[in-house]
Amino acid sequence: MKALIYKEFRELLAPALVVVLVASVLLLVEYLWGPLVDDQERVLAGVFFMLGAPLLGLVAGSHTLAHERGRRSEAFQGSFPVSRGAIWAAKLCTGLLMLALVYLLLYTAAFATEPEGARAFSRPLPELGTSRLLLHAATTFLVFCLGFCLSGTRRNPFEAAGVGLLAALLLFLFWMFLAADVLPRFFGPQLGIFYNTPSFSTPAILATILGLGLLVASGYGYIASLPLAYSKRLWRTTIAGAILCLAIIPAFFVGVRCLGEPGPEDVGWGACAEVSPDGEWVMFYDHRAFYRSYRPPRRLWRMRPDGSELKCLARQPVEFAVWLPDSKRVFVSWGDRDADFHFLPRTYLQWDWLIDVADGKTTSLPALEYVEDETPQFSPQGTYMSYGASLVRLRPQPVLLEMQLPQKATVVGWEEDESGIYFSYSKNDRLTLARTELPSGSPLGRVVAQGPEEAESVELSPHARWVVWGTRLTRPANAVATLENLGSGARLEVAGWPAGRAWSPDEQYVWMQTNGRRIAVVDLAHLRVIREFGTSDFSGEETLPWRHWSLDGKRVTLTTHKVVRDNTKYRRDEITEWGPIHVWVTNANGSGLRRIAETAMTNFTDFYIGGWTADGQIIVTVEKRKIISIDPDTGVQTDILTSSVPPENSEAEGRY
Amino acid sequence: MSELAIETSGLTRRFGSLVAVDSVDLQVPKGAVYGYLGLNGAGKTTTIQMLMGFIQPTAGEMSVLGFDPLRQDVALKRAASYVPERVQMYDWMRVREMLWFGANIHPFWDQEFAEHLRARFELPGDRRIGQLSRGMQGKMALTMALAPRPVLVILDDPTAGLDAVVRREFMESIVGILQEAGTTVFFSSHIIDDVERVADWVGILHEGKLIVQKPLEELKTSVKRVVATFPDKAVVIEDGDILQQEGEGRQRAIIWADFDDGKLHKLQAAGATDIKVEDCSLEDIFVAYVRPQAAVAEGRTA
Repeated sequence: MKALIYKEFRELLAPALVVVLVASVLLLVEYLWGPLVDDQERVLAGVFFMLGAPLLGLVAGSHTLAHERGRRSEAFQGSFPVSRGAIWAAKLCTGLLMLALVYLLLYTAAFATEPEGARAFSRPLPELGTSRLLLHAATTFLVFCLGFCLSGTRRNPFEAAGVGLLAALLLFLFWMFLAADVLPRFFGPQLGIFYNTPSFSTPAILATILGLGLLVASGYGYIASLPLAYSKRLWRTTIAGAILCLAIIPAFFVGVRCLGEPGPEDVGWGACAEVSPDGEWVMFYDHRAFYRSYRPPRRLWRMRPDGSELKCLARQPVEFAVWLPDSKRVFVSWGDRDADFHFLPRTYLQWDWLIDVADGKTTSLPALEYVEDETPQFSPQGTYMSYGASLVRLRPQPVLLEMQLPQKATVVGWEEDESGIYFSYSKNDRLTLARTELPSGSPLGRVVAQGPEEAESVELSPHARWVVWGTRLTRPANAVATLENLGSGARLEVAGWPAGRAWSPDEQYVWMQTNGRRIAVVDLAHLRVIREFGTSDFSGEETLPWRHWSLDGKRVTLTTHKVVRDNTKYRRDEITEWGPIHVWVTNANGSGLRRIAETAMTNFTDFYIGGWTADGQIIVTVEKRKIISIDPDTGVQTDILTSSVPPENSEAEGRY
Repeated sequence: MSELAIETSGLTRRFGSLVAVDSVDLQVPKGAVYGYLGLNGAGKTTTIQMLMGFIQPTAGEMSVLGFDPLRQDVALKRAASYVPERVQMYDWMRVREMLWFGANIHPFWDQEFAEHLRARFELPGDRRIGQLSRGMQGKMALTMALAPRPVLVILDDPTAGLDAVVRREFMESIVGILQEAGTTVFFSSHIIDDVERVADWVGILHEGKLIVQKPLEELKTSVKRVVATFPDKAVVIEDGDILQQEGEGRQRAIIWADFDDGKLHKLQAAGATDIKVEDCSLEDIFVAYVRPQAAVAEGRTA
């Protein structure tokens, strides 16, 4: 066996060195290019994608029995007093060993040149369960072995290539179909394996083309000129093997998320803490590590506002979570939005659950089609849920209502007693608000109101008393927000696009963004703007579109930060410098504005205001993923969640 | 204990409708140098591949050194060495590296003997296999085959592709080594000179059938060339052992298997005069055996 492994090792050495050389050149290109600037700069991922094919091809294609046959050394090999199994095993083991060595070398080089960039190698996937991991390993191995055998047992290299190609296509189809489409439908996302292809930016494409050219040129030149493995037939089977390995590469690129200790920059582990509507609970995600090129997988946790009763609600990664109005349950969604590599055109699926906050019990919701950039809306008592144009009745068991709203209709609100639903759609080129009975009213409903001409957006107040139409006249700066009372039809026009609206719990006031980064406070009882805030009110700082009402409806939080803009020609107010974020509190009518907290945050990656608690504290996620509470009267900040890793005994009991 | 190194019974291999090997009953005595003669495409390589367990027979039984080649191929290859036709070793390996490789593959490798063979064949130790001449590569293959001290060596057309000078040198090397080693050798060839020079047993395979199998001397003694003059050109001699008749007139040359006094009397009874009985070369015998039957019949009626 030693001799066989030595022989295979020597024959694999040259191609492997070529691969390492080319990869090193590409790493150097990236290193010289400078640090990554955004998520698209995935040169390293490109390197691996391109290098994976020939490398695996060499293992599965050339260095098989087909290779021996191609150069006519198969008969000589057959004279050895060793079993065919031993010969096969030596080839396989050496190939895999060489692959491991090459990747180890490249990882080392990558970490040496840029530790951050090297993280892109292990592209984080949702945490893999044991069954999924086994499925992944078993299928990869089977595909590999099948490719190995198919390319190795044909009489003629061309035949091997043809069979290999056909087999690759079939396997690829089957594999993608099974792993990415079939299994998730029946067993949920935990058995689905999702593939990601690198997104290339211009430098990445250039570097990859350069690398590929170098690889082909140097590899062909080497093999054609040196006595190591000069048979040109090598390349026929290499190509066959490489094509075959396309079936393997997607699986190859699936990486298990690194769950190591967080680095010094990852002090906290909470994110996006959100207070429940009754102010009794706080839910948040954990972020153990950030990956620049990928949205981090995150689990869902809950705790009391003082940090007690910490519990993991969902072990599987969560796309997003929303509180139900009763504050007892959380809607959780996990969609395959990042799975952008599917061989067959397919319907994107998402998996939704309701989780009981107290005991963590889960209830599966009907599978819905992928809904982009939308969060579900719940009826006031939580009986119904709307998601895009789909309606789900949640009680007693979740059922998808077969109520087809008009095309492109969007649910915008509910009657307070849940007797009807409001939705908007375009009728005769006018944005229209309609109402229909629940649960089985006419899908067309009854027109309740029509927006102004060229209105583009509509929003209903939580108690369905007011509607806000957004009309963009010529450009956003000239937009108009129209407030309309659904009962009387009274209207008020406010200059500016209706962004960042915040309705008081009793719907006596609404705060909304207006032109010039100003905030208007509208008294709905008298239908007039009673106050406007500008940057001068915030010490020259600009406001952020986040405003939260206290549960008693007496106070509002606002957020500001100092920015420096470049107003020179062609720069279009480009922000060149960010200042720290400040939190402010005012009374409901806008009086008593004061700054209560300053954070060191200069970006919005981690910063998040989660709302008011029942006892009148403000929950905020701040820098280093730390969750704090701020006393609105004194401005005193109290750390709630600061440990660097989740406690050992706080794992989820949730099952999905 | 069988006295036969190789023994087959009704060994047959079909490839679709083509019968490559047809009911061959080989009997190779231990210690013999057995030349397996046949035209190109006669089925020699197919026979050898079955004997080494590379391909499965369609029918028949076989035993090589007492092993079943299909089920005991590893044990067989430990006792028997095989040199394939136009052997292609690993070109990138150096001669010494190849010997190291062999030493680590074969359990009974004799490194001293391997070095002795390398010196005798004048193989340069630091030269890559791919840089050796065809003849030298053949000698390298022979070294690899003999160094494990096998009981049996199977050579599949070892001189194919070699020019006459190299071929002679190569075969003489084989003879020398084998005389020293006392190994059973089974080799296939379509070059009669090689077989005649080295073999002591001969089997002739024609169109998949083993048509003769004898010790070389016995074969040469039993097959005679008879030249005789007949009183009339219409006289016909009919005998199942006549392999070939030549001549159009009264004088004819007949190659006759198992020629004896009875056949001589038969000629005399037919009025033949000036009868001359001559020995045949192996080439004459081979050609007589494998010449198409139509040609034989044509010669007979002529």
